[in-house]
Order: sequence, then structure tokens, then C-alpha cells
Amino acid sequence: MKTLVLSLLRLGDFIQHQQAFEDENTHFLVNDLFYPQLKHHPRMYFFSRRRLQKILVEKNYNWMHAFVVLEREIQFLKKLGFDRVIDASHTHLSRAVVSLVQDSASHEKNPWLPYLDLYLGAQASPVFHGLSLIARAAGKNPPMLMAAMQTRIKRKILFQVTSSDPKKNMELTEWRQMIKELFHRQPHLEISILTAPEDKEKCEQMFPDEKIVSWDWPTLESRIDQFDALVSLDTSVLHLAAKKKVPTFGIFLGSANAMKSAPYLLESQVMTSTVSCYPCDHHQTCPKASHLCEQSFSRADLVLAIESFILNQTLNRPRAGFNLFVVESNQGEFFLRETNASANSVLQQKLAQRTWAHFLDEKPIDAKDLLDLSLSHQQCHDMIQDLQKDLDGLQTRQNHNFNQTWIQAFQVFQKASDFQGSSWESRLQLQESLIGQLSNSLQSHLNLVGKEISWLSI
Amino acid sequence: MTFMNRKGRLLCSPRDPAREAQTWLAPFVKLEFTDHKDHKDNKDNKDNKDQTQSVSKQAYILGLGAAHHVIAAAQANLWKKITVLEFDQQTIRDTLSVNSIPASVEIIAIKPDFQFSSRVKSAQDLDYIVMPFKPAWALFEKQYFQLWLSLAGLKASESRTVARNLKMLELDSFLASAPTLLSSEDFQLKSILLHQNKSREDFYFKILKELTQ
Repeated sequence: MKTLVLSLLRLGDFIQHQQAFEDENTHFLVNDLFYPQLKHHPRMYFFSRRRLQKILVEKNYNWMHAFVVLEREIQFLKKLGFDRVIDASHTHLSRAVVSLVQDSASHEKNPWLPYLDLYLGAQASPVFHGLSLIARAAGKNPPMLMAAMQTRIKRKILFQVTSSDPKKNMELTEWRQMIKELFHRQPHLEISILTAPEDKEKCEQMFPDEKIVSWDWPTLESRIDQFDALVSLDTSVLHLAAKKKVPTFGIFLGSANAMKSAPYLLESQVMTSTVSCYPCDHHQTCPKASHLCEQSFSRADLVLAIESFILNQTLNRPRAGFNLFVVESNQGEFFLRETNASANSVLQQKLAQRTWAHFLDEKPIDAKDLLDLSLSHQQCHDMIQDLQKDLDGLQTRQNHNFNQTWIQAFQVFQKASDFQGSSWESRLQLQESLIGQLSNSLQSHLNLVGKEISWLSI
Repeated sequence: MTFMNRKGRLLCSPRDPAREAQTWLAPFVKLEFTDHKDHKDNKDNKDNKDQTQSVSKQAYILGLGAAHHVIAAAQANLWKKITVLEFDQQTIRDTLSVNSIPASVEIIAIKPDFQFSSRVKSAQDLDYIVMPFKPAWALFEKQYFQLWLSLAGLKASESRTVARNLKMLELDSFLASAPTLLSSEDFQLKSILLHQNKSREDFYFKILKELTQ
């Protein structure tokens, strides 16, 4: 099936969309902004975003010509005869392009779509990775989570120290001091500083020339896997490294939402701030007088976290001002585990993720599938106690319903675990009687946020 | 060669008109090429030609003056057609008598009381860049400015189809700078829009709206 995927966001998003959709029949439509980076890729078409914007805005052009250019591009795409058009961008613009390029409107009702709509543009974090959500909303399985290439000792480390988004940036002086301290503790490291051409001059003032590399995109693509690890802000390079299975450590600041766009690679680590304004809105500049998310953790903590990552460990000590996540698999599903979270909390999140997946896949929950979370009776009891405490503190009806859902879910598993030793059939009978309650609660949660979703009859 | 018009105002630099012409031309050339594409790339990518072309087919130069800038624009060899619009017929006669204009350049004399006559209205293709040469405007600044607005589509919102879409999609802010709305059918706008059925037309305008935000 000849497919067109609309990837009309940033370069990092495109790399992730490639992971989700790329095969020999898939073509991509990307913004012309990335023409230099992607012009050599096969099956690539460029949407004249900049040209259209220029015609619309500059007084030297007749703005109505934008209409003609746009129409010409749409006709060009239509002539290519795609069997299917997938919107991986989920913006107003991309939806309108899909409507014009495909001859007949798609009426498929995919429960993942309203879930995606709910979270993609919002600051709230979904329980699934953004890439997984986009793939499922297009009716595809999420891409397989790959393991990072293994090195006993990470020696050659690449640092990507700038991002095109000021909110996601960390001061270069801070990078310099942090790298200096890291090198002091681990003198065996071979450090390289990767910079975009436009930032090279700034970096040259901070780092020795011989440490700085400034490659074009094709060179970077061919060389990045020569490094043992990448330490980066939330950039396209981070996603490129993950695609190439290079172990990655991400520093997520500003609007960089770890759950939505963490590197899609097992054992990757992501450090985020704990300040209340993080993550902020992608479309707004930072309203604070200073960059609070960057200042919330100390340089010493950052050095220790990166050092632990380089030594194939995970920082395991009390911390303040930051969270540290590691990418794990939850039965093949991307799962971001907070390294300091209690076992109960992790189980609760895994359970939440699986329950949502079953619900949105419109499949009955399989007790056998869920019970391998190895919940003991005591763990279930503890979790319900924790949840009850949370519930007591809740103010809104929406949260009340949402948490009530999980209490019911845990009750399912508590009772199921009581049946240990009995037959699977009897456990499943019990599950089915309780899952109806669970589905109703999930439904009411979605209704509360104004989304309609059809729930299967179990 | 320099010129002065009847009121004694210079039509180009008296010291170095060639340099002035190059300085004038540079920003338009820059504007015509998006910063991530060069001309070579456009030629190489034939399969995707429609999507990578960034140079307008035609250039409208507002003001002939002493024509140094017109010659510079022709020598840049970027546009298939260059049309010079000039209000002062005396300037045209004087310039043509002493300066050689490339044959590919079309010069149109416009009467000062011009009301978007058939010559300009017949421009069916909107694929052009407007290049005002203000030193040559002299006595006709107001007329040139009106002409510029018209060529930029800022006075062409008379078409009901456009007006409806602009209003519906709150795109009419585009036209905030337009002092008047004329009752013309400039550049066959209706024919561009009306052959679309309504729903598809709306999608096009939605995209354009998103691009301006």
C-alpha cells in the first residue's frame, strides 16, 4: 500500500515518525525547512511552508499567489496516487492537507485518536510515549523498542549542548563547568562537543577547538554511532542517536516533555526538573524572570547523574529539584520509570498503562497478561492504601473518578491474586465481572474531558 | 548617467548609480531564494520541481528612473519576464533615448489617473515579485504606493468569495493595512477560487490561516 505520512513538525519528530512508519512503500511530506538535511532521503516530498509564509507575509508578493502555490502542491501530491495518507503531525494544518490530498474522507473510528487529541497538544503527560500514540492513532502497532548497543565502558561521549529552542537550552558556561568536572572525575573520557554551524562561534569561546565538531546532517547520520553515548538536550540529534541505538542521556528543560518525546530506546535516561512550571507550553516563551527549570538542580547532581549513566549505572540517592527516568519495557510498551519511585508506584503506573492499552485497543483485559506484574497480595493491599490516601486529598470530581478507576483496577488484581492456585478460568470469570466497572469508570473519565469514545462490550 | 525630473528631484544616485542599483537589487534576490535552498538545488530536484521552486516567474519594477536598477535586475537573470511600470512618460522618453534597456524588459507607461487598466489586470499569473524603486517615484509617490498595494493583493479583496473566506477564517487581518477595497476583479481571483467547491476551498484557506500564525 503506497502511503504518505505527513510529518510537518520538527526534524526530531520526523526522525521518530520514520521509526514508526518507514518502509519501502512509505513516502514522507516534510517542511521545506529541512530540505538541506533530508534532500537525499528517498521518497521525500517538501511542503513549501516557508515559501507560502513568505508570499503571505511579504508585501512584495501578491498574497493570493499562496493559494495558487498551495493548490499546485496539493495537486502534485494527489497525482502521485497514494492509497493512504497518515497524519503524524496532528495539527490543524496537517489535517486540512490530509483532507485535500486523500479523495475520500476516512471515517475509521480509532479510540486512540481522542486519547491522542487529549494529550498531544496539552502540557499533561500521557501514559504512552508520543511515538506510540501516533502509530496507534494511525492503526499501526507501536515501533519495537530496541536495546541500545552495549559497551562495557562508555569512553567516547558526544555532547549536544545547544537547542534551537531557547526554553530547552542550558547555559553554555554551565555545560563547560559540568563537562570539566565530569572529565576530572572520569579522565578516561574522550569528549566531543557537537554544535550546529550557527552556534559554532559561541561554542568556540567555551570549549577547546579540537573538541568541537560541527557536521552537516548526512555526516552526523553516518558518524553518530561511532560514539559510545550521547548527552543532549531535547534535540533532533537525541532522536537520531536513539534511532542508531546509541545510548542517550537527555536533559529535558522548558517544554521538553519526557513522556511524549524521550528517546525511544531502552536504557536511555532522561533528567527533568521538578519545578511546578515544567513542562511549559511549547508555543510560549518562558514567562519567568529566570530559567527556573535549569536552576532547579545542581551541577553536582547533573555530573553524578551523567557519570552514573556513563558507568552503566543509575543514580540511586536522595535528590532534590530533579527527576531521573530510565526507559524500560512494559511488556514491549515504552515505559519511563522514575528511578527513585517506590516499587508500588512503578507497578501502579505499569498497570495504568496496560489497562489504558487494553481499553483503547478495545480488547478484553486478559488476567493472565496482567497478573505477570507479579503483584503479591501485600503489594495490592499497599497500593490500595496509597490510592485511598490520594483519593482523600483529591478536590475535583474528574480526578476522583480517574483515581477511583485505578482503585477498582487494583481491587481486580487483589482479588485475582487471592485466587492464586486456582484455575485460570475461575480467575478470568472474576476479572470479567469486575472489568465492566473498570470500563465504566474509564468511559466516564473520557466523557468528563469532553471526548467521546466507543467502548466495546466485553 | 543621471537624471533629474522636472521638479529637480533625482531619480537615482548622482555619484554611483550602478552601485545603488546593486544595493537595491540584493534584498530582492535574497527574498527570492529561501535561505536553505540555492538555485542549483532547485534545478537538480526536477521530480519535485513544483515544490522547490522559489523564484518568481516575473518581476514588476515600480519606477523606471534612469534604468540602472532595471539593467541590474535583467543581468541577474532570475526572472523570465521583467515589467517596469512608470507614471512619468517624459522619464520614459528621456531614459530610452540615452540608455539601452534589454529587449526582454517590458516597459508600461501608466497614466497618473490610472484605475487598474486592462494591461495590469490582464496579468493572470500571480507568480511575481514587486520591486519598488523609490528614488524614481518623485512626483508620483501616492500613485506608486497604490499600485504596489494593488499588485500585492492588498486592494483586491472585493471578490465576495475571498471576503467571505477571510471573514470566516478571521483572515481579514491580512488586509488591515489596505486603506481601501476596490471593486475590481483583479488578477482573476474569482476564477481561481470559484472553481473549487466550497468545502475544499475552505481547507485551502484553513491551511493559509495556519501558516500566518
